[in-house]
Amino acid sequence: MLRADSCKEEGKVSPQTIYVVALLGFIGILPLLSQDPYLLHVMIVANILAMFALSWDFVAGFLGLINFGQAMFFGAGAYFIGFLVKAYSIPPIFGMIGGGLMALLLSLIVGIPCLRLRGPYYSIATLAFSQVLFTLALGLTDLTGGEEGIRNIPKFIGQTVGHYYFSFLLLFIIIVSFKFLLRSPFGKQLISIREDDRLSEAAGINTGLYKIFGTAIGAFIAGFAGAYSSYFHAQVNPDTLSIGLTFYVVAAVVFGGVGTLYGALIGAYALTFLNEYLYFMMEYRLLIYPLAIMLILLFSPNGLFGLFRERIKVFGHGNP
Amino acid sequence: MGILRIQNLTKSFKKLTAVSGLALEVKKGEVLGLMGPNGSGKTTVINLITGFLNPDSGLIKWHDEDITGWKPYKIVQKGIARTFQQARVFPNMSIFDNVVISLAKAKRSCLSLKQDHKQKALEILNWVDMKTKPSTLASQLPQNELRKLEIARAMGSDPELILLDEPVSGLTPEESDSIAKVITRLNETGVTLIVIEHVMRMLMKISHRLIVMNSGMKVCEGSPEEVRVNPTVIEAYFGKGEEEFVNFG
Repeated sequence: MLRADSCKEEGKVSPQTIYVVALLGFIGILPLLSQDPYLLHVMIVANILAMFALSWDFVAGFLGLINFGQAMFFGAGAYFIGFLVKAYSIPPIFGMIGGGLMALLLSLIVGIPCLRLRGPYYSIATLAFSQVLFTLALGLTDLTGGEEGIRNIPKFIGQTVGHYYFSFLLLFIIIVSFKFLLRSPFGKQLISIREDDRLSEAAGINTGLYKIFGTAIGAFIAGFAGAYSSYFHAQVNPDTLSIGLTFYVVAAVVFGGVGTLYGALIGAYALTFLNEYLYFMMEYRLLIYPLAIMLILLFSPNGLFGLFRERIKVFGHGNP
Repeated sequence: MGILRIQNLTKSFKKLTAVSGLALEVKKGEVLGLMGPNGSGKTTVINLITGFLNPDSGLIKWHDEDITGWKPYKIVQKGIARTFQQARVFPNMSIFDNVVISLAKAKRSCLSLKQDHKQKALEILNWVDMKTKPSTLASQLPQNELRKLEIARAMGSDPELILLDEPVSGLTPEESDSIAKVITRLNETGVTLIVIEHVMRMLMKISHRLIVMNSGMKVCEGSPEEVRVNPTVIEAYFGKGEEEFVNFG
């Protein structure tokens, strides 16, 4: 006889929880251990990239849609703040939610035609849309500030340490939300589309609608991260919409491990630290990334997180 | 009056006519066997009924409602579920999740899985006599358990009609018998079934009525006893003579 408790061992403190609590403790005391503002700055940048990477991993890793234009959602959120602060003064948290909603709206405009396409055609179509927005951001100088972008966005947290804790709080909320969502029936149905979208339809799932919902959620998080990035850097420029940024985030997720959430975090941290601490190598550091990614994929096709999971064996199988 | 009625259904792939002017009716509570040689159009018929293909012409009516060309998910929501010729499951999801995602009620409460949904999924898995632990990944299942999981997934949507495409393909005789028992029990609960199968002995045993197809057309319809001795069927389907055919029964 099959029993409900054979599906999931609930009510036990898992090793996974212990690792997460230990990590949170370390994050909490780090600013007390190190007074280096540069280190905290790098970690905030990594957290913003991690939020963005999570948004891409959610769509690509769990829904199976490889979006090569994800930067357009990050940029939409970032520019939303740039436009907003010119005219209005609203609480930053509403600004960030507004940035997320702007990206969500954009995902509906882009998604409805693009989601009719499959596989590489979808990827190319999203890339094209992203490029259109990038060109507009460069060209509409009066509105966007052109190459210079929009500057002097007021910071709502004065000190780096404040941003440090705030960015971790946002990251934590996003991860917990994604974990919750992916464990829900809705999340399982999204994952089923990645597994086999025709079979999902045979299970009664409106795959078209779910893809729109899934990409909208991913876009909201990307837009939210973009909006926060504008506040943190006190500026926004066309780089936030660039193909380069999309490929950077794709590289982070692939490096960390696609479809795991934790992989997006690890990849974002790894690439940000490589980028910052190899700065003395100038352009040569750009050779290090592909080499590092190739080596990781050679030894662990599931990325750095896959490597950890094989060693530690506490994070279970692929799905959250 | 049948619950499913098909009129003049035609589907071609370029120059090949897979189904030509097919008419059939499925009565509530019956097991309808669909048989025919390879390439006779049986799977195409299932794909047309379940919305995986759009017909070139013809009409598919479900309880007098025209469902021709509807999307597959809408057809499932109307009460028609299916399995596939090659056992098709979500390989990187657990057995339990494979069933849960098809539960009609769980779809409505999209953010939390209620206890009665879990219970329902486990009941279905017990009902099809699934031996493997529900937390096991579907990709780790042997072929016979995959077939049971497919049936369980189809049952999850509470269908009135299930279309089974070669449910015992690739199974041993013992495993086939076990699936045949599940199909018979399923029918005893009131579910109507259309079964495509190459294993004649099994199809003859479980079907109330048989339709034989050849080259996209219906060549014979009747009870297993009538089909067994029909000379057109013997010629079209077996081509080796009546004696050998009768031995299948």
